[in-house]
Amino acid sequence: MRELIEYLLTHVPLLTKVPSIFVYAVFILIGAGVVLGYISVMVIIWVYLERKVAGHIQARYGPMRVGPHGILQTIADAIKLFMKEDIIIPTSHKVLFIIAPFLVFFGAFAPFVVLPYSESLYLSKMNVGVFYLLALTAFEVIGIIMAGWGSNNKWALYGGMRHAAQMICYELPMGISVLTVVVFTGSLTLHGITNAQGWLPWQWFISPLKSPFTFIAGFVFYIAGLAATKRVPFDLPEAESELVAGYHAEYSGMRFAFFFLAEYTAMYLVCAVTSLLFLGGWNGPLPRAQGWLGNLLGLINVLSKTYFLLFVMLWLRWTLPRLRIDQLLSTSLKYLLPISLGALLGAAIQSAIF
Amino acid sequence: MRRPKNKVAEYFVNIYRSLATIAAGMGVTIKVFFQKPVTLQYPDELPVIEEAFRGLHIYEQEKCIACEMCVKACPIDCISLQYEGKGKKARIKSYRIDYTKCLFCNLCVEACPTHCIKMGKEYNLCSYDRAGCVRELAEDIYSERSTVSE
Repeated sequence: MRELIEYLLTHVPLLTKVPSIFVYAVFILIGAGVVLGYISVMVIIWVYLERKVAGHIQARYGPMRVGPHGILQTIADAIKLFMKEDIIIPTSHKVLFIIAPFLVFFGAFAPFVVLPYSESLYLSKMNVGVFYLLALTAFEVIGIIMAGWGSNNKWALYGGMRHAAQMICYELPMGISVLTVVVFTGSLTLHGITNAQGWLPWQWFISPLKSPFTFIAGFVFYIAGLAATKRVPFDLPEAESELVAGYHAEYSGMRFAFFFLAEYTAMYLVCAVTSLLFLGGWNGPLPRAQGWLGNLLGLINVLSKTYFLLFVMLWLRWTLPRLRIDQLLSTSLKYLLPISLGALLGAAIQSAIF
Repeated sequence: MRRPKNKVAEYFVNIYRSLATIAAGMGVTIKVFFQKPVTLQYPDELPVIEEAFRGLHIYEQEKCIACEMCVKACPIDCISLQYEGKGKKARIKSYRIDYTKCLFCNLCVEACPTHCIKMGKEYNLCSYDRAGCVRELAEDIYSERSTVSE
């Protein structure tokens, strides 16, 4: 993005007359709009696919009525959500209640800045890419605690507190398993990490042939990511059967839609990052190429792996029951954290010796 | 499965078991995922009715001898039969079954000596009020004829 703007600033004579800060602002807005549009379309498709996958896993069809095979079901649901009355609870803490959904969405949306889709298809080549990504996903916790506290509802507060506990527990193994990869690449940019992997599957970090430690770290990262996005079997903050809907119990209409959007965006984010860090990113099964063909093949590689991982998330959701809160915390602190630390130690030794 | 005595062994056995059981569970769900769904898209495709299905009764008035065996056999008295005369001269005025009570127990069919009542295949039993659930199965042909003759 930055390279593109600089190229345009030097080559298009019209742009040199306006102050460069305006050009940057306009291009940033265009980039944000593109990402927002992509997220919305992706979420609409994945909500539909989730219901379809859920149906077929339970030997039924899923949505079938709205449009052929129910493809317009999500759009109908979205229209319903936007038409609903926007209720703000009179007893709530108004400021926290109103800000919370947007902060949660911001936490899921901002990391898209550093997600590359191919060698030259990206918004920003930030030199602390992975660090920025982990830092901004933590914004979600603040938003959710604010939603829980602002709702003035004990179940909502339970949901928010549970999410905070869960996030603190699962961000540790997540960060450490990212470090396991960084030990080998020596780079925090997603470009550097992806380019450290070749185009054949055994040159990716998920392959035990490349390193058995990143193989373990890959699984740890994916499980921790699953927990960070509050998906079943780690959906304790929502827990329909215990807490009604957890932290978003008091939200309706547009604001609820934002929570929903944030959840699916976070899911996509975790899958995209897993595919970049461990599954070779755009180097993927389709070979590399130059120019626009390279961009296209890279995009196909990244998206196919991301969507496969999203499918695995849905598959896990309809397979496993929800964990209890103590099981959730012991899974993280007693199993994932020591395993990821061991993998980091092993990776450090391997990179020092070989 | 037994718990291992050694704490360290238990730790690794736990990891192995959790991974193995998750894999087994995912195997089950993916198998169902590729199966054909068992759901019926009801108004568009209709279910196949089995041979021994017990739906709405089929009543053949010309065979009926008004012996009241079905009325007596009915455990909840949902059949009401009205007639004039006896035996072969019997004139059936009405044969009503109250489907708010009927059990579809097949006892009336077994009791009938002339096989005039049978269980049918019709399963759409709903109506807008209770009165609609009481179905008249006989046609009152005799009274109509008598009014003509008079």
